[in-house]
Amino acid sequence: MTPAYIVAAYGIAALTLLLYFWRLRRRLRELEADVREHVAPHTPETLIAR
Amino acid sequence: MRLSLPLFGGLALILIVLGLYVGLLASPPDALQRDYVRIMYVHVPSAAVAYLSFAAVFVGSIGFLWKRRVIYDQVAHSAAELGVLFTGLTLALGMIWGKAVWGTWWTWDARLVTTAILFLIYIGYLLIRELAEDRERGARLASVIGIIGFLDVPLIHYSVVWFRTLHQPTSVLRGDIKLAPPMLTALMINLVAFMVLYVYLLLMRIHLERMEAARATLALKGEL
Repeated sequence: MTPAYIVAAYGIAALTLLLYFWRLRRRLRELEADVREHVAPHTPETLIAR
Repeated sequence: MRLSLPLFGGLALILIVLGLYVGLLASPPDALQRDYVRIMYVHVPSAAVAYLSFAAVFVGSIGFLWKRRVIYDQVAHSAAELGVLFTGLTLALGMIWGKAVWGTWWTWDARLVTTAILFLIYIGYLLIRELAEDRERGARLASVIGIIGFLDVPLIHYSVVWFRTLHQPTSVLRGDIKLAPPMLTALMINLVAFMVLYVYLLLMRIHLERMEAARATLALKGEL
């Protein structure tokens, strides 16, 4: 019996979920860096340093 | 959020590895479906998680329209995206199983058609949000779709009872289990694995929504 259909099913499931996870993580990291960079100048420490 | 994300991520990984082991190696082949029964161990949990997702959209949409709190909309939007992902996966895995066992990729069966309609409804939900010029208006319209669209979920569930379908009826109901114990164990472990993975991805997706809202607020203040 060829396991091609089983390999295809598990492969598609794994690839889909992994790609979604990577995309989500990459976007989260970009946004976190973006927000942190622009919020940081307004913390009390950085205001005092200014 | 900081503590729960790695916790759910680690737990999901362990359960997925365990699920793969019992689904692909430890569980026996079926008398009729032979090894193709193993596709069920990812197809059924994927469908269950999609149902759960659209229930979250339903509750979040009602909450948003009622209380007007953004967090409800953020939960609904995040759950809708994941619901579409898991419904698409359910359809793809079901088609592969159908080709292997029924000999066809697709048939105009009540369960299959109502699931495809559900997929299209929530793609519409996501499109409306993307295309709306006013974010608030888009969220309101999407909430209405999220509530009405959920009516399709019980229709899908009972389609195998109400209509004459090729799709098999529910195998696991309270007091009526039509699966052999090793197969039931494999299905349940994979079901829990998918649920935990779903919670992990949902928490990540909600966090993303909140970060996007924070970024938009900074942009409005001219900080970005």
